Amino acid sequence: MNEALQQLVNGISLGSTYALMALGLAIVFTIFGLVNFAHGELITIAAYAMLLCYNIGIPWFLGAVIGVAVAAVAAVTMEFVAFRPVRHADVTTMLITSFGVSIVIQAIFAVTVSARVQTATQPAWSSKSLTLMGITLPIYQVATIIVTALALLILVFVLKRTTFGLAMRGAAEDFQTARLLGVRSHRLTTAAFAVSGLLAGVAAVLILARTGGAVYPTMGLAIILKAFVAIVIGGMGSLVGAAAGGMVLGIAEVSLRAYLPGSISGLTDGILFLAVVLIIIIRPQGILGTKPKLRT
Amino acid sequence: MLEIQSLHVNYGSISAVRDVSLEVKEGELVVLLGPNGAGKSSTLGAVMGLIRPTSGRIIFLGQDITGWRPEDIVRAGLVLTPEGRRILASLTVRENLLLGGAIRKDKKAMYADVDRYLDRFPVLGRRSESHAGDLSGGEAQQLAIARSLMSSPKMLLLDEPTLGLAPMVVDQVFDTVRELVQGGLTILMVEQNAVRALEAASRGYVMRTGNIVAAGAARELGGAEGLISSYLGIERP
Repeated sequence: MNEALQQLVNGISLGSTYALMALGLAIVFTIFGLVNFAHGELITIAAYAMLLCYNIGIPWFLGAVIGVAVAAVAAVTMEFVAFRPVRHADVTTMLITSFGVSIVIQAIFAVTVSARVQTATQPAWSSKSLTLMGITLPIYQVATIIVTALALLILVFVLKRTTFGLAMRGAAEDFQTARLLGVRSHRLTTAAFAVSGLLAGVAAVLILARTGGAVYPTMGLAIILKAFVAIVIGGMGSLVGAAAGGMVLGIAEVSLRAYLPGSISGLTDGILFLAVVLIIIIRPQGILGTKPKLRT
Repeated sequence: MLEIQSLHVNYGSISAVRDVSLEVKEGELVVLLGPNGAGKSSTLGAVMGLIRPTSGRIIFLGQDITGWRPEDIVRAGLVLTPEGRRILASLTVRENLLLGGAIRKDKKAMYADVDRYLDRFPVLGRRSESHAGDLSGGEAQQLAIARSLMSSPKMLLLDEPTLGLAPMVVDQVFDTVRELVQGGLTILMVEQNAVRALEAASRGYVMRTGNIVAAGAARELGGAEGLISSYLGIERP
């Protein structure tokens, strides 16, 4: 029983980072119509920023804040440099552009830093555990769940209660009508990318806490694939769907790894991706998704 | 107030609007008539910056707004209630109004206006917290007009406000338009219901296949039955 509970917390914690990434993808998709394959590189960029902070002796917390900020700036820069010029091109052109951005960023880090894994050593507390009612939980997992819940609450609050959020939801449904009501298209697009960057930055902080600070050029790739899976489960354009999809995926992944016989537990990712193929065939709008809309 | 000077709009090699010039003076209700595909909506789209005109100039309040973005034109005081109403279905009725007023600086008066319009259109007031997607066509048209007014515009462009509405609701829409004009708002309205539109308007223009083919006082256009029927493409036996 305890073991099952621990696995559940483990799954939710893993799923939290998927959820944060899936949310960022969904926001950019609904506002900009772009499936941003380079979204994972925002994690990589944030992680290298934190690595640099660690190397020059900046305290962990400050480094984490800088990492999140750098991810947001990187997302906005990405839009401005790479995506704005193809704004009116078709979806495929934008998708291929985002592939290009992804590859270029990976190559930049591989060439200028190193292709090998570097370590931004995490503070000692992150690897400790605490025992609650007989269940032992790693602190980073608890922190991940709390931080993700906070990020989601803030996001929902902004979308539901602020003028900016209203403009986001309106533009997600019908960009042209929103413009006719005075929503500034460039500013809103910039904001959408900034929010997706912030979420990716937070995810990067949590991922480093989980992996003990392993930083390498392709680290974003594995995670973005999982975030796409989360979106397929939840439905593109549904925020609740994206978050729930991330959680479901995290729990499924952890359970498969824990309970499959040792000889085939290496097939976990394969099984998950197979499941996604089945979902796409049977229910292409996602399990929770309807039409693309930025619903909260 | 609004002046369109020899406007041309092309979609690729197809020319939708050819050398259209028209003028709307302050306080007027002017109607733009014509059959489907005459270029009426394209003209409004070009005025609002949704479509880039091939040539021509659009002057609003003495300012050349040709090539401006829609969001800047709204800030200048010119707003469009688009064809098909384009209600944001996933937002509530109140949220649609709030978004309409989002550009305003006088937030207090803006919130007061939300309540004022919810009062003035009781169907909206009753459903202010429900999803706007659940409204009927007539209710949605009222919301679309109220939403446009939320920006406290100097001039309103109305694109086919009665399209697809029941006759009784059409009456309501025309009543609303008359009230707005009496209240001092300047309106340019695109409308298929020529007879009703000319009853309400002071002047009218008739478009056909991209050109303006008639213009004049509403009474004259309305009186010239032959003119109307021929230019609106209703062939008589």
